[in-house]
Amino acid sequence: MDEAAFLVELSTIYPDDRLLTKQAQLVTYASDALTSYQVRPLAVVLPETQEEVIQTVRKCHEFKVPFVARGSGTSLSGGSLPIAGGIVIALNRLNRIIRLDVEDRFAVVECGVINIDVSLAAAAHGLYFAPDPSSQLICTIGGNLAFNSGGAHCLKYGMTSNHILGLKAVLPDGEVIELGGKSLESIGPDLVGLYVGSEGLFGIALEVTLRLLPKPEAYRTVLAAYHSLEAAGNAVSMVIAAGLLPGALEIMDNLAIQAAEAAVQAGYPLDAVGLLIVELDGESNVVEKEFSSLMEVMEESGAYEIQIADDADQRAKIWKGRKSAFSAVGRLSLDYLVQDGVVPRSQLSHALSEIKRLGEQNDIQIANVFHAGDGNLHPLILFDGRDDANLARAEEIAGEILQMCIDLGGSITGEHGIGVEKLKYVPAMFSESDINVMQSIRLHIDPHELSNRGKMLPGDVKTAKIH
Amino acid sequence: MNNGHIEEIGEFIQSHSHILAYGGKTKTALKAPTEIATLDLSEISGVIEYEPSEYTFTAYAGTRLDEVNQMLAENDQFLPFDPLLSELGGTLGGTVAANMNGPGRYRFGGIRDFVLGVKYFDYQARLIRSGGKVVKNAAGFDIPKLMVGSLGSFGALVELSFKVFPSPAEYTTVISSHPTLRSALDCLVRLSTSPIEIYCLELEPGDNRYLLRIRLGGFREQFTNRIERLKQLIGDLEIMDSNKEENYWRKIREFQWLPDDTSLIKIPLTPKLVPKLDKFLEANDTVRRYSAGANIAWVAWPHQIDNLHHYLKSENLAGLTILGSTDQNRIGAWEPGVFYQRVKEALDPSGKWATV
Repeated sequence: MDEAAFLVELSTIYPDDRLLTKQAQLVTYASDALTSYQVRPLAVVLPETQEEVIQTVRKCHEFKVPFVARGSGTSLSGGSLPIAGGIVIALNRLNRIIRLDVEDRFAVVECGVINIDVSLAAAAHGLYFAPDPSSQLICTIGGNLAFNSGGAHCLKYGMTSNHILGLKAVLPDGEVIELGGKSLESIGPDLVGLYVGSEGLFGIALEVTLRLLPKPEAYRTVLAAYHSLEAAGNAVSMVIAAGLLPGALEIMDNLAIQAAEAAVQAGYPLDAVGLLIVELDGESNVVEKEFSSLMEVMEESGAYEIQIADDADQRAKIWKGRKSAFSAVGRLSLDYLVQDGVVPRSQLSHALSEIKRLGEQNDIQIANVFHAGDGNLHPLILFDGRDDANLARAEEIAGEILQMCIDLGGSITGEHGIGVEKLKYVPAMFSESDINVMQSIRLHIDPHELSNRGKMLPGDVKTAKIH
Repeated sequence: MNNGHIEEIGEFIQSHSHILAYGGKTKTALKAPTEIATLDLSEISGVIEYEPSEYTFTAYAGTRLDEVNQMLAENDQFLPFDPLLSELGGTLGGTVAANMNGPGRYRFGGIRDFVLGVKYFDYQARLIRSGGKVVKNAAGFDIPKLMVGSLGSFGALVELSFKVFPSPAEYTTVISSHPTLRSALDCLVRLSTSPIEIYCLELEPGDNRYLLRIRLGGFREQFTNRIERLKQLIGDLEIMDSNKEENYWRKIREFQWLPDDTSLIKIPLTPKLVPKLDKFLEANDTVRRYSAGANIAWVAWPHQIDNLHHYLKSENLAGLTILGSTDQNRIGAWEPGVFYQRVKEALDPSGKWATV
C-alpha cells in the first residue's frame, strides 16, 4: 500500500485540521480505556458528515487500508485500539439528534451522539433511553451499538441491543445499508440484532434509531452494608427469590467502596465488606408496594446498616459512587485491568471467593464491583505497569478468572466485549466450528478484514503491545 | 420423517440438499413447497435446564410452549413476550423462527429481547452454539437474535436458552371505548408515553367503535388506585369481569378471533401508520387488531393475498402470512438486502435451507 498516495486521497476529503498525521496528534488516539495497549495509527480523520465517513471507508477499501471507528474511546476491551498502518475514524462530530418522535417513541441519532444526551433530549417528553453504561456521560451511541453496552439496569431493561430498532451503516466496502425500522417488530431475520454487538467488524453505523421508554416515575434506592461479600450475594438471591425485579442490583467490595468514597464522597459505609445497592423503579403505586416487600427481605438479609435514598439527590449520590468506581480505583493503583466475566447468579459467592483466593495467592489487590443481578463480575486487578512482569501477572489472573466463568457456565464478557483484550479466551468459550461460523460471516461482509481488524475474532494482524 | 434423535437429524441434513425444518406445524401458511424435504423437529423436545433463581431455562427447540408455560407458572415465572398458539401445539423453535410475539410483548419486549442462546445444525450438519445460557453476555456475534424471524433459513434450531421474569401476581383488564380511530390512537399514545406500567395495550376496531384493551399486572389491592389514575389520564373505563379476563387474552393468543376463510397476516408498524392502513382494511371488510401498542397489525385478510401485497408494497410496509392456505408468505416491501444476502451466503453457501 502506498501510504503517501492514500494520505493524499484523504486530503481531498478533509482539510488539514481534520486529517491528523503528526505524531503528537496521533498519540492521543493510540489507546482507548484499555490503556495497557497502545498502537499509533497512520492517521486520524475527523469527519463531520455521514458522507465524509462513507467516502473515507471507500478510500480505505480502495487502498486496502484497515480502519477503526472511534467515539469517545471508553472501550475497556480495546475495541477502538488503532491498527498499525491503519486509520482511526473519530466520529464525535457526528453528534446530531436527527429526530425525536414522541408518538412512536423513538429517536434517530448520529453515531457520535453521547448516550446521556439522548435521555436529556427526550426528558421534556417524559421519555428516556434506558441503557446506561457507567461511562454514559461521555460514551457514544455508536460505541454502545458496536459493543452492545450494558450498565446497571440490564436485568430488567436488557442491553443496548434491546433498545435499537434500526440503523443505517456503511459496510467495509463502502456500501450503505439500512436495517430494521421504527417499529418494535419486524419481518425477516433480525439483522439489526446481528449487527449490534459486532464490535465494529461490519463497518460503521452512521445513524441509529433508538427505542425510547417512558421515564420511571418513582425510584426507591436502598443501600445495604454487610460484613461479608457472601452475605451481600445471599441478599441478592433473597431479593430474586421474593419475585422482585429490581431495576438494578449492584455489589461493591471494601476496596471499591474505599476508592469510590475517596473520589466522590457517596456516603458509603467505609467499614462494609460488601455493599449492596438495590433500586426499584417504575410506576409509583407499584414501586411502593414492591419497596415494602424489599425492605422485609433486606431486614432479614443480615445487613448491619441500611440507607434509603430519600430524594433524587441522594439517589444521584449513591449512583455517582457506583458509576465512578472504575476511575476511582485509579487512585489506588497506577494501573488496573477490569474484567467482565459472567457467572450464573447462584455461583456469585463461589466466584467471589475464588477471585479472593487468586488475589491472595498472587499477592495482588483485586477490587470488586459487579452487576449482581446479572451475575456480571467486574474484578479490578491492580498492578504497577512500570514493570512488564506485573502486567503479565495481572493478565494471568484475569485469564484464570475468565476460565472460571466459562467453567461455571457463564461468559467471558457481559458487556465490555472481546475487543483485543479477551481474544485469546474466545477458543475457551466457543468451539472451532462456532468460531468458523463467525469468521465466515465476517469474511462475507468484509473479505479484506479492513473494519476493526484484530478485534473479537483472531485476525492475521497482531496488535502491538507497548507499555 | 420422524426424528427421535439428534444424530438422525444430522444424517438427514447431510443426505438432503433442500430442507425446511418444522415443529408443531401450527403456522399453516409457513409450509415448505412440496419438492423440499421437511425435517420434523417436534420430537426434539424437553426442558434441559431450568433453575428458577437464575431466571433462565434451556430447552430443545421442539418443546411445546404449553409445557414451558406450565413449568414456568409453577414457579411464578413467565415468558414476557406472551407466546402465541401454545394450545394448538406451537413450539419454542417455531416461535423463534417465525418471531411470534403475543400481546404481552408490550411490557418487557419480544423474543429478540429474551432469547439468550442457541444451538443449531448448520448446512454441514455441524452443531453450532452461539450466545449463552446466562442473562447477560456480549461474546461473539449475536446469532440467537439473527435466528428470530429467520424462518429456518440459516439452520435447524436444536436448543434454545431464554431469560424469564417473575410473573405478576394478578392481572386486570380495562376497556376504553372511542367513537373514532383518531381518538383511540390519541389515547393509546397518551398511555404509551405515560409511566403507568401496562402489560398489554391493544387496539380493536369494532362496529363503529374503537376499543383499547389495557391489561395491568400486579397486586390486586392496588388495581383500584391504578385504574383511577388511568381514568384521570384517558377518561371513562369499563373493567372486564375478572373471570372473563384471562379467557379473553387466551383467545387472543390462540387467534380464536380469526373469521373462517381468512389468512392471518402480521404487519409491523407504528401508531402513526395505523390510520392509513386501517382505512384500507376497513374498506376491504377486514377484521384486524393492533397489538403491542400498535406495533403489530394482525390482519384477517379475506381476499387474494396479492391485493394486500401490492397495497403494502406501495405503502412501504412488510407482512408475513402466518395462517391460511396460501403460499405467499413474505408480502409487501420486505426484500433481502445486501447484508442479508451476505449473511445467508456465509451461513448457507449451498442453499440447503429453504426460504419459505
